[in-house]
Amino acid sequence: MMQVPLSGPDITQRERDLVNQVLDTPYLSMGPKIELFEAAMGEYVGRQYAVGVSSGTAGLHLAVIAAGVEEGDLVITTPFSFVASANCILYQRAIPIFVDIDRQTMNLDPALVAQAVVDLTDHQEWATRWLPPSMRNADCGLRNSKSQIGNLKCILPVHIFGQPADMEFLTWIAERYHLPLIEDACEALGAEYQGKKAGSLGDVAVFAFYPNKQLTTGEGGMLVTDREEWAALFRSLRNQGRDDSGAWLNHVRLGYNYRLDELSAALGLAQMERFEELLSKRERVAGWYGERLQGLEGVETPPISPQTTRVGWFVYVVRLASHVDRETLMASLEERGIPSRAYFPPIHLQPFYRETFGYQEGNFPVAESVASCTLALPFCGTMTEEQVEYVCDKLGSLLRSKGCLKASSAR
Amino acid sequence: MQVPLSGPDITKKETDLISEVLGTPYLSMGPKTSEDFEIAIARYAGQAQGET
Repeated sequence: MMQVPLSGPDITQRERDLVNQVLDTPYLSMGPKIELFEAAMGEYVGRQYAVGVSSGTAGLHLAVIAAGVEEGDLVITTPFSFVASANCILYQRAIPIFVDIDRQTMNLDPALVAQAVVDLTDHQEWATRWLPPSMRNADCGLRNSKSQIGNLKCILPVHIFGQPADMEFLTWIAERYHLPLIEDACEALGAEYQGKKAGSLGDVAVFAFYPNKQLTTGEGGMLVTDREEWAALFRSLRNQGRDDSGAWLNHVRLGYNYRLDELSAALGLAQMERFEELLSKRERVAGWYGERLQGLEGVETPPISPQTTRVGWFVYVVRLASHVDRETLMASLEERGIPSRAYFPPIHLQPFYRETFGYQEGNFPVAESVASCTLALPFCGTMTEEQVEYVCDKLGSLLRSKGCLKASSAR
Repeated sequence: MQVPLSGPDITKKETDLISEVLGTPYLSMGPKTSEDFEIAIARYAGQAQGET
């Protein structure tokens, strides 16, 4: 039996060399490597400023702060994502306003976002329906009320699984209502929307470099923006609120320790040098999957929007037909040495969100329906064609057998 | 004389262990953190179990 890893980084001698160079210097944090890594990333994405941070989550937190989000404020985002894209709003004691997704792209549905923005700003009598259930109290107006509900402050789309959200429509809405647009590009380094790089489309974008990402630093993240004052704010916030005068112990605002250490930055710099290779290898693996899964009954390959001129392949997520029992299929794959994951359970149904905001099944039907049938197969750039062949072969025979069908649909 | 304010003390041992990690897929939350390092710190501090 073959044992296939779910994911894995692609590390060469170049990565080792750059990390070892750092160990030969006294600069294990905030040294020359992070500056080079930031410059390389800014140039790649086509942004003037890039600021390295300790994780994508830390970057999202700082982006939300820059957008002026404070206690009780509202931020529109997607319920179909990794939990950090909504948690970063809660760090500011603000309220995530979930808006349902597009069934095909699994990204925010821009028409629904437009409706939410209009209701939350111009039509306050209809605003409450967008609030979390536990806050839909009839007395709870929005602006100028005694309640703790603040103003709509920004829109935070996520480029899910490496495919950009519909940024043209979202930008149009955001500009019309003077709302900053934060791109959560943590899963989408290298992706392109209408020929433009993910990360170059909003007021600020955040990338993440966990080991299963297109580029890894171990732990790490990066903010990119063209706004000079935001870049300066990020540099201060990541470094305990220090100002940029060079006075090491002058703290001008509440900051955090969100610095990216120099060893991680060196790893990132080496990966950035090889980035086209890293992304191409992932594209090749996605291609192998596509060829083999095309036409296989019971499974649908990831739909790519015509707006997506390049996918920044992060994971390979298929959708299972409604008669397939996902749990049984996952267990059977595991027995055959193939790990898989049900990416993503919707954020609003996470126990903490149910408890805090009163969410339940049925609140975001599209996200819930998509989440009930998605399955991430093993995926990374170092996967071999033999491994992909093995996964598809086993998946195919399991789908053809009756063992993985739901009881109600067994024929 | 140029005197540094401070500086780390890094030997071949440190470089070797980091190279070892770079040879595995576990670049976060792998055996080096969750087991070796935490246990070593816990022992040193006189606690039964540590957590990062």
